[in-house]
Amino acid sequence: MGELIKVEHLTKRYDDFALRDASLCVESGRVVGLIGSNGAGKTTMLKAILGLISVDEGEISLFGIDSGKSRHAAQYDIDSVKERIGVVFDTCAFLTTMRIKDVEFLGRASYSKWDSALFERLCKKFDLGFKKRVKDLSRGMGMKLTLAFALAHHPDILILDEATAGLDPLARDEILDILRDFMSDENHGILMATHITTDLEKIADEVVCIDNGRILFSMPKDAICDEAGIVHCRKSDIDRLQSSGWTNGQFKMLSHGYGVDVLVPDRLAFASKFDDIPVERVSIEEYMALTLKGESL
Amino acid sequence: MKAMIFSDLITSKNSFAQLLGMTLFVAIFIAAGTSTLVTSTACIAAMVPFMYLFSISAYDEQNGWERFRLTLPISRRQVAYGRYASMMAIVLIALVVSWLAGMAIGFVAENFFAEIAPRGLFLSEWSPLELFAVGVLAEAVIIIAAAVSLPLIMRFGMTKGSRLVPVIMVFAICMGVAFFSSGVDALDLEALISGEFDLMVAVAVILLAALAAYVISACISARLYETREL
Repeated sequence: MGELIKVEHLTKRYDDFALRDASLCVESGRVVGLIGSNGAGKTTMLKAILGLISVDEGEISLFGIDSGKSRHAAQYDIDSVKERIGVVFDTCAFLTTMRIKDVEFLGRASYSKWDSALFERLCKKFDLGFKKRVKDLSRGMGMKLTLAFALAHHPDILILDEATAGLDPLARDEILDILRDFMSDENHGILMATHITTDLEKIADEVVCIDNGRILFSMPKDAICDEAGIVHCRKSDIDRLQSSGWTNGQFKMLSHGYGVDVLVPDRLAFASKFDDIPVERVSIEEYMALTLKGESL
Repeated sequence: MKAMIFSDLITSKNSFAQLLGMTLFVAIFIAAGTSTLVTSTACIAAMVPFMYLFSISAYDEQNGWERFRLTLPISRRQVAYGRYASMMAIVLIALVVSWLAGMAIGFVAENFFAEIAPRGLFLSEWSPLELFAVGVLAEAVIIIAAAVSLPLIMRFGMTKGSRLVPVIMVFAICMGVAFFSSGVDALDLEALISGEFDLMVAVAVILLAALAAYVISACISARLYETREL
C-alpha cells in the first residue's frame, strides 16, 4: 500500500493558535477522516498539506515527494503533484458570475488529464445544466459542482474540507456514493475533514481527531465503532468499576443528569467481565466527546 | 500560466462587456463636454484596464476563489505572472477599442452632427496616428498605476492592498512634484505638446519606461505572492 499523504510532526504557529507536532498518513485504498471541534486545527492541517500556508516545523510528503524542510509554502514543491489531487472546500469556490460551461473550460485549461465527458456525465447526474450560473446554484448543487470538478481530472486523492456540511441527508448520501465509487480504485485515497461523524461511520477507514492543535487520537474506525463500547452507568456501577481495579485509568467517563457514560476500549472484554452491565457500540461522535471531555476512570 | 490567464479572462468575461459599455457611454459624454476627440479616446483606453484591475482583484476574494485557484496545477509564480499577462491583454484590447471608438465617434460627429458638434470632435481634425498615440499614453499611465498597485494587492489582498494603493500614489505624486520643482528638467511637456519633439519617439520612450516598471513590478509581485498565506 503506497502512502499518498504523509505528514510528520507538523507545527504551524499563529498568534493565537498553534498546530503542534501533528502527524497523519493516508495510504492508497484508505479513507481518513479528520475530526475535531471548530478551530481545532483541521483546516490548518489541510492548508499545510495543500501548500497554502507555510509550516514552521515538520515534513509533508505527497505521493512520496518530500516537501523538504522549507519554511515557505511556495518552496513546498506541491505544484508537480497538483494534477493528482482533487480538492473540495466547504463552499463552492467558483465565481458567481461563471457558468457551468466556464467551469468546464477552466478545468480543460488547467488539467492535462481533464475528462470533459466525465465532467458532463457528472453534471448531468447532478442535474447541473451547462448554461446555469454558479450564483443560481443552491449550496448542495454548488458542492456537487465542486466535486464534479475535483473528480473530472482523474485525481488519485481527494482532499475534502467539510464537503458535506449544510447538505440534506439525501444529498450527503449521494455524495458519499460518489466517494465510494471513487474508492473502488484501490490506488485512490481520501482525506476528509468533517463535523458530520455519521458520514465517517459510513465511509472512513481511519479516524484522526485533533483538539486544540494536537492530535488526540488516530485509530482505525473499526477500533471505535466495532471494538470500543459505551456503558450508561449508575453511580453504583461506577463504584463497582473503580473497586474492581480493572479500569486502570484507561476508561473515560462523563457525568450527565441521568447517570454516567463510560467509554471502554474493548466492549466484548468488558461484557465478559461485567455481564450484568449493558454495553453498547459507541459512535464516533460519542467516542470523540468522551475522549475530549471525559475524566479518566 | 495559460490556466491562470484563462481563469482571469473567464472570470472577467461577463463583467468586461458591461465595463466596455459603461466606458463607451462615459467616453461619449466626455467627448461632448471637452469638445475634443482626444479625451474620449484616452478615457476608453484608461478606464477599461483600470476598472478591470480592481474588479479582477476583488473577484479573488469572493468565495475563497484565490485559495481554491492555488489547488489547481498552477504555481504561485504562474498566478502572479498570469495576472500581469491578463492585465496586459486587457490593456491591448482597450488600446484597440479606444482607437476604433475614437475614430467612430469622430466619424459620427463629423458626418451626422456636423452642425452642432465642435470641430475638435471631427475625425478630420486628428490623424489616426495621433489618436493611437493618445491611447498609448493613457495605457502607459495605467501600466504604471498597475505596476504600483499589483504588488500591494498580490501581497495583502484586495481589501488591504487597495487601502495602501492611494497612500503609495499620493507619496509618489509628492515625490514627483518635489523632483520637478527642484529644477530637474526630465521631460519638457510643453515642447512635447507643441511638437518640438517627435511625438512618436516621445510616446515610445514613455511606453518603454512604463513597460520596464511593469516587468520589475511583476518580478516583485511573484516574490511577494510566494510568501502569502491563504
